[in-house]
Amino acid sequence: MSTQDDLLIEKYFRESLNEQENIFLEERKLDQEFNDRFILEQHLFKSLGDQEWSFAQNLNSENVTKYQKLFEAPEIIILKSTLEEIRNNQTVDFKNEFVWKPFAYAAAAVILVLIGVSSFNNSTTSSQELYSNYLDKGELAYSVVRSVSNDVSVDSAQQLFFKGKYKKALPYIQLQMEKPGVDLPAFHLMKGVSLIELKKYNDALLVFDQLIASDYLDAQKGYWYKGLLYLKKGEKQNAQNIFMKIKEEKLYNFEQASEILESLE
Amino acid sequence: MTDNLKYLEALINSDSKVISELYLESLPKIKKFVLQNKGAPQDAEDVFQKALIQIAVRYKKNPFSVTSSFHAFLFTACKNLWRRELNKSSRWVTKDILEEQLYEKNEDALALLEQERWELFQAALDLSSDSCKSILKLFFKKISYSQMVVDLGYSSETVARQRVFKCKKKLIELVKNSSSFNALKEL
Repeated sequence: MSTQDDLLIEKYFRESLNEQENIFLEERKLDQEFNDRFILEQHLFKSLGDQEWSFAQNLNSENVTKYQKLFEAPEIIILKSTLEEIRNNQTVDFKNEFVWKPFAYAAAAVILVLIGVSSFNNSTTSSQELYSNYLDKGELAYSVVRSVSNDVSVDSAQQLFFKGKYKKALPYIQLQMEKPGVDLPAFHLMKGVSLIELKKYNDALLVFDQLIASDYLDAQKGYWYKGLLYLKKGEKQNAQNIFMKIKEEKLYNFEQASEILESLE
Repeated sequence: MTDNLKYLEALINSDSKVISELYLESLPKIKKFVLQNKGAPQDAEDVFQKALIQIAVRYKKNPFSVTSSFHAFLFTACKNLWRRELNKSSRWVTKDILEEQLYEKNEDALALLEQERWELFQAALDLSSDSCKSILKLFFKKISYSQMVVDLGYSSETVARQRVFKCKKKLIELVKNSSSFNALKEL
């Protein structure tokens, strides 16, 4: 590299090249050695200056693909979920610093009222017991094992699901659902049940309705789990309607639906 | 176990108790920085989260130790991610849609590799002599030679320029001699 080259590159970065110098720079860039040096200095300038940033130029580099895969590794997906959880809790804590006192007495009063109501009306509790008795998580696992080849994230999804770590399981389940050709009803159901357990009932309903509307052979299972959702939520009438439909149309688990209907009467 | 290792392991194991400590200790500083630089609290939280994930992925790929404090290391990662974010709009002026889609698909990995390249350059600059470090910092900030003469006491602009070229040459040698240069030069 000659001093002339150094001056040329410097002028470029200081945006003070005239037209002729610009042409000369383009000519010099045809020289591989000069061009490599020019690119390296460009990265140095953008990285070590305060204002700019040196973005990657080669999007097809082998390293890029290798690293991108790591962002989808099970530990990293769990970390993302943990960070999201912490972030949400931090937001709640932050808000609580300012607002908890005025609402504390009101919250205590509401709890007392709820305790009172539940003492007189145990239908919600009993429907929740029915939910627990009739929810067969093993049946879901069997469907997954039957249908999917060895996949670490499937194992992680199952393990977390069975350990009751529903929030952590959800990203794995979602990951499976987004994979082409692996959109299995079992994953819909695992997602729906996880959402029920997290008390996100409306989201869970949406998942089951999507399954019911699908062309899967197992689509009718959506009704069974929708019924269980209403039990968990304590909506006795809605639960009865769904289980009645299952019984009358002899859908999935219609015998168990009859048992539940008897218990609810 | 050192504090730095404790934080790195906590990220890999999703240890929410230790990670919560990081949120309490480091996030306020990041928020302050982002708010002072055209950002909102939400941006700071996004950047903070991205930096933690980026560090975890790097540690998973190739376990490393942090020589400074972990909080300083994390702050630098956040600062660079925010710098990157602020410059993103200028990046796409001349790029086509397909390239943009490819970029978005691999954005996490690209940001990580760009950070590694930044660290390589920074390490080379740190290895330079104090006088080279001082003049190169001004040079990369596009400070004029007349100002360098005033700030660093050179006898003339020509002498300052010769010094810059010499120091830059040395810096490039240091970069090229680094073990990680080959992996990052194609980026």
